[in-house]
Amino acid sequence: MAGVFHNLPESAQAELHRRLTRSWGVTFQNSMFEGTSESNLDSKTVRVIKSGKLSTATGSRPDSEAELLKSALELSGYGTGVDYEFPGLAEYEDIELANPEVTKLDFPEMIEIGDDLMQSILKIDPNISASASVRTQVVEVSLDNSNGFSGKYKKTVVSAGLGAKYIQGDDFLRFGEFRSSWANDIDYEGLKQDVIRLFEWSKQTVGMTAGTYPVIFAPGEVGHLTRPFIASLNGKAVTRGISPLEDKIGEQLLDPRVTLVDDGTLPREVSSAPFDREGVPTQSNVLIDQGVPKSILTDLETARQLGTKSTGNGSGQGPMPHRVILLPGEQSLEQLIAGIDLGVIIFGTMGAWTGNPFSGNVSGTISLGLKIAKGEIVGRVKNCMFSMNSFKHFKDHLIGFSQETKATRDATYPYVALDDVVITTG
Amino acid sequence: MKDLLRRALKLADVDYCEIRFEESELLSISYQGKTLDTITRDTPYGGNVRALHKGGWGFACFNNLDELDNAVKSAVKQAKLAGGRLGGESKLAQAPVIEDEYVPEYTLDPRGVSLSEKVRILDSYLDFILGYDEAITAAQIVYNERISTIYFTNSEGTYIKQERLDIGSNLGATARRGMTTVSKRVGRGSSIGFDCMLDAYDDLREACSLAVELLDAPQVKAGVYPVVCDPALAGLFVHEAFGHLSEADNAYKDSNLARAMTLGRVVGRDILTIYDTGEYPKNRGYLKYDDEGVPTRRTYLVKDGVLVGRLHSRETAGIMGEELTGSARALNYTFPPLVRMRNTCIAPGEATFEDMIKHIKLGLYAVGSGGGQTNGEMFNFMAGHGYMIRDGKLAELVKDVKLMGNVFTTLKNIDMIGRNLDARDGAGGCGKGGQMPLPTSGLCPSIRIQNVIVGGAK
Repeated sequence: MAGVFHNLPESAQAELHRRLTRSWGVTFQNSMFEGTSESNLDSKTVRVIKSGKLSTATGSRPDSEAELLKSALELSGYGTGVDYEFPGLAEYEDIELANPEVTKLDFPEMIEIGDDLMQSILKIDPNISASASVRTQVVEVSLDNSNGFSGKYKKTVVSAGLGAKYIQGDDFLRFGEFRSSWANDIDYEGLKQDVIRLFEWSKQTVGMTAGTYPVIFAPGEVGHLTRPFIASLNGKAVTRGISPLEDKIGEQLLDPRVTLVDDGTLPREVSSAPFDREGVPTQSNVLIDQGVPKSILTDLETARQLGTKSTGNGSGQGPMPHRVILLPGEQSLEQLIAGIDLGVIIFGTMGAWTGNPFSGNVSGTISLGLKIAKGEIVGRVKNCMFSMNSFKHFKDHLIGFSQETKATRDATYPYVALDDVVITTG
Repeated sequence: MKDLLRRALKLADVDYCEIRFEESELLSISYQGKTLDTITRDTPYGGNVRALHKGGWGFACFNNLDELDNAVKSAVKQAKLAGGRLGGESKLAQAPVIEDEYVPEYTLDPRGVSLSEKVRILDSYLDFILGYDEAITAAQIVYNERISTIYFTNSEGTYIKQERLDIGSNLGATARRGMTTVSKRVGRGSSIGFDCMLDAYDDLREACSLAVELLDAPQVKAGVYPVVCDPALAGLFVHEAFGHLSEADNAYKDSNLARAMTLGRVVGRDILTIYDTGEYPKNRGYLKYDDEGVPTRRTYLVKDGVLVGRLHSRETAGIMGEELTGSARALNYTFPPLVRMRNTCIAPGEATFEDMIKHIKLGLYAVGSGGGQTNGEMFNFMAGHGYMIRDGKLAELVKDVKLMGNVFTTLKNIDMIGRNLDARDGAGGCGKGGQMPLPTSGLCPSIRIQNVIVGGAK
């Protein structure tokens, strides 16, 4: 592998990242089996630092390493000015990320799983248009550089989704859930129950008047609320002068119950890796500790600029988190709901990802929201929008976090209950 | 290549089989803060085979042409497995058999502009942004250029070699004061020339000025308002609020949705005409043939307020018994085509801007597009900024403008359409089924919509 570096000019450093992905899966759409798919992909990326400038070339043509190196060297005259070096020979800890058993999951078995998922909601109401998918991925990553680093790891991912459309006239209801695991151990029964529960809760539409209310955000939506923190505690935002938190490190900025961690070291997690995209070992980073911003995610470049060490979050395109974890609270979801006299629990939003994260403002359409009245879920609300500000609401309006957490592919969140959230209705 | 692909197709003993192979060259240059951030050249190379048998699909993709025969065998085996389970009929709308090699007529081929010249132009925009005002602390510039050669052949005899260009760019400025940050950007895009990147200074001046001015602007107050959308936002609105619902792969096997989208249904006032087309080469989303080898054509979706058409792949058109539109598009060779929009447009009307605002007591003029989303029934989209309309006149500047509504109600609430027309382009694109960003655009006039829900401050 490292043979490609033999022709490197003396003044240059180079790095070769390779990702081999084999994946196969089945899909069901509109309550019918749709088909299968398989892919075998090989992508390579060469980065070069020459005369203090960084450039990148990627490609998928077979045996194209030398060609990519040449292309990156051609670009290097225009590249980004950097003054760091790729890491040399380094030790990193192996993390258990690959389960060889997943390769036994073949199309017929996946079809049976997908069909069983789909039938589970069709049994509840045959007028539902159900969709399901099951997919397996085997990923092999290798990283070599001209300074002596050489590492590789393998990971496996099994994922399954179950969703549905329920259309009556012009009334559309869409709901669904997604699970992933390193092994073929997905809790399919739990997945079915969660989707069926959402449907049962949503069948009846109830009215909601505009105002400010306590709102519970389901784990799948909490990423929109933490986005301002993740974006602002990113080394690139700090070094580029756009982070509002760059001078707030160490200040009590949020409620003491807020602790936010990024962790790339967890075994059997699909988002973990022994080393980052630049060859730096991953680690656990406490971003916000009891309401106090503590650390900034960095890669080699931003660490150098900030005078620190890389936190192992290099992605080749700036620092990126591995698994964002918001530590849970002490109340159950049931207790959080019971404590609300009049409010909303939100399971689905649209457009909450748009907007400037550094302002802290988060707003979006509530695509699946349930009204809470006198401590109980009473039905689905429609034509509503929510607006809040993460910097303000996680400081002054936090009701609490649930004990229960849910893991998405790259985050683990509890339910988050906030007060004083603006709900606009049509 | 033609002989290689056609020879491999002979291995396909199924109802239908196609091979799509792609050789692309991408150049991405980005600036963040005060400097060039990344410069990357990407050379995607690979293909896929899609097979259909008794109504079931199989799909296999690969990077190495040596694996082509194996990919055909894999897709065929999968299609037979799927078709065996479905036991149905393969229904594809009849498409013309085409042999063609197509290269667009470039206004300025980006391959004829040196890398140093491209960097010099972007550097000059960076300097302009950073030098505009001391409140501007950072620039965000993205320039993406993709030139692809797509080879397509199918078991019916079609062979097309098609070259495609896509340029998308955002030139952005961030102003910051304390905890308040505001970003504004200028979008550029084209399917035929690098000239879209030239002379952006007037637009940049306006964006920088707005970024600074918006630092002191309040967040829009939440409520329900009459809203006048500028052409960029109208383009986003028609894409999110209606375009996705017109994609037939949502409705072709869902009788409830098909009923809601019955052709002939009155969905708007008689001033409303919406069409989707691949015919505008200056915009992103221009397409001569789609990714099933079907020639694209202008497709009227709504005419004089009446639902008259929808966008199709060969399968959705075959099952619904409707005409082909050339709307099957794939992000790249790793994906099968889905039914997607190209340039989604609202036909211009008669109203002037003054006509639209003069009778509004309290309303909002929403400007620019910042992304949106739909679930079929509801939509949400973000404007770049807005001005309140008070007593028939433009009033104070407001920020963080997000609008939502019900698709069917909102279409009927469009009560005025402007005589102006402008296109919406930029570095982003449309997302569907994990395929993002697909180049799309829209050519639209300003529109006025009654009773729009606006999120914001108390």
